[in-house]
Amino acid sequence: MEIKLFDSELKVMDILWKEGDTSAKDIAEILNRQVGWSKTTTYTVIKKCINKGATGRSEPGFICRALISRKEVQEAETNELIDKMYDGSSDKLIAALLGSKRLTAEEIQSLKKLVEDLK
Amino acid sequence: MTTLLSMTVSASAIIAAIIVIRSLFIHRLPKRSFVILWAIAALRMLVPFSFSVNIPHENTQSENVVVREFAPSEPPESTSGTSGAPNRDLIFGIVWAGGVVISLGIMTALHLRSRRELSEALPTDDTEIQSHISAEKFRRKITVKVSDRVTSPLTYGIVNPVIILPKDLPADSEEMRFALAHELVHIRRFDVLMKLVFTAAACVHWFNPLAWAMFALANRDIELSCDEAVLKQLGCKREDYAMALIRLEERRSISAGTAFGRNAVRERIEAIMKFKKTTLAGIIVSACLIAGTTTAFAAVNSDGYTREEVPAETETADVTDLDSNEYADVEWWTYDEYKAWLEQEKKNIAELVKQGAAGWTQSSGDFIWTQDIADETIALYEQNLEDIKNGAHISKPVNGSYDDIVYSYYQVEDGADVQLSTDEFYQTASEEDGTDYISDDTTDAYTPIEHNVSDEELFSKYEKFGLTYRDGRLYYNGEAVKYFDDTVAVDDTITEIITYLDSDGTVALTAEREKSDSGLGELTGIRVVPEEEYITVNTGFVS
Repeated sequence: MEIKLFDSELKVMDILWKEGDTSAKDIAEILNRQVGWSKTTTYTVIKKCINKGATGRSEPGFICRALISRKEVQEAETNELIDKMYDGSSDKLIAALLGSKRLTAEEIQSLKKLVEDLK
Repeated sequence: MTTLLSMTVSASAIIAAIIVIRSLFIHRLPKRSFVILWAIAALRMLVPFSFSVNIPHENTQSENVVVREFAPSEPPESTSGTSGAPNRDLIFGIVWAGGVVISLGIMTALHLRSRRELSEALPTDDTEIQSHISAEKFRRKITVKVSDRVTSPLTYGIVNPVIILPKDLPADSEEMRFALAHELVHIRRFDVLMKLVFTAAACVHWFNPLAWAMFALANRDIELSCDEAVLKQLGCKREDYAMALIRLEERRSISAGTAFGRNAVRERIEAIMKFKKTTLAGIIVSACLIAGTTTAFAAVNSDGYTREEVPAETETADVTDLDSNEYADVEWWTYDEYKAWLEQEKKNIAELVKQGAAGWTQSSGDFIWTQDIADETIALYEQNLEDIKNGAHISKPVNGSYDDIVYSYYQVEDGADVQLSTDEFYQTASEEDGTDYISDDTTDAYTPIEHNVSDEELFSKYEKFGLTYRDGRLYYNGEAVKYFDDTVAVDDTITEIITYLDSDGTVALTAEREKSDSGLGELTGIRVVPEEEYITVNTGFVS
């Protein structure tokens, strides 16, 4: 079975593959050093890994264990994009408000033609 | 509540104006001008004060001009509780506040949700990107992160800006170079803060569709303005930049993201392709536009103010006895309107007295509102109201200027409106209700006086000159009198005007008096007024 993971989730899995079973607290510490995540962020990502079945947990101490190997992982397709809602320019939010859809291949073509025409 | 409404009304006018300007000149003017114009509109929507443009009267002796400057308006929340019709206002206030809370809540929730996701972005150690950032001089520390959850570059954070780059954007690509330059312009210009202001304005005025139009268009214009700056800065070919943007869009459309509106992206590409180095002419035109709109904004603002406050100045009115045609576009107060306005104004004045607010009149200059002044002012308004009831036409401020308030007194005769001078109006009013008025020349105000003499007694002193009073009508040598007047100086300041008007009469008369130092002296006779003179007198002082 292949599980699709985002980069952030892979970051957690990397530690588990490299270090073996690790407590959530330790993962948070390592990632804070590595990529500057807050404890909350790391815990959220761990929870996502657990929900996807990539990670198992055992008490006490919230020890995490990798349930899948590196080979079984496929890079996730971005199907839930953040910039759907927000891209700092919040244009996407407006798009949502105005109910506009993403551009089709034809629309991309017509834009390219527009550039050619205006050159 | 009224403050909010007047804010929304004046802001709507500005927004509508900007939309028109924008649709005409979007590709011809520096995009920055539109961002500035939107900012003006947004500030108008968020800053709850109004100011009046004080137009001083020249060559006028009229007194009791009340101009209130800087009438401080309370924030909408408190207004809703204190101003008139508390129940209705309270309901409106609650609905409005609820809308603000909901729209702000949605905005905040969306923002927090993406911020949470974005916190999972990973730092980049790409040297190329780092060197790009450090080449720019910023006081703020800029963090660059990479995420596989975004398809286009974005920036958040005002104090500590963070740029998030899409993971699949190659670090050495042209797109990356453009994207970074674009985001850095955003950071330098504090565009995130700017967007926050537009969002706040839209949320506060959530019930106004134009506010949302402003929100959407302002966000677009920020991007356009940013593109413009990048093109200027990098000096690259327009088509390269445009194609890079399209490639970004392309990537995005392959993955399941929502691209921004088609029209918006088309507009953006077009704007890039039509980009020209800003010319001096462009700068001048846009400076004029901004100045013009700002002025219009002040005018609209004072207009909004006018609608609320300026009737306060109705008594400033020089009594204008002009041909009615010249004032075809004058709006007259109706009795009900004026009454409603007066009720509101009484509260406003009471509030001013309570605050000890400063005011200004033509006659007394600056003053502080006291109970006496308030009583006096209200008495004048009530007189106006009474006048309106009696058929007087008192205009609303003409063209937003209280210089041009028209007092006009109409009497319907043979179905046609005949404009009477102020004096005649009071004569007519006097005839109808038996009240006489004291005319105070210094204030142009007419105050009713109580007569303790009967009409018979009043007219008896004219008997020796051939005037007789019988059964409520005046006769002169047996002929029915059409018009008679006499002006009696009661003392140095008060002049009593005695008038008589009877449309069935045939002869017009006026009392002759000695001229004396104090004005008018002893009665010397009665003169028949020739038809021509009578007409001139009655059709107004045309000179």
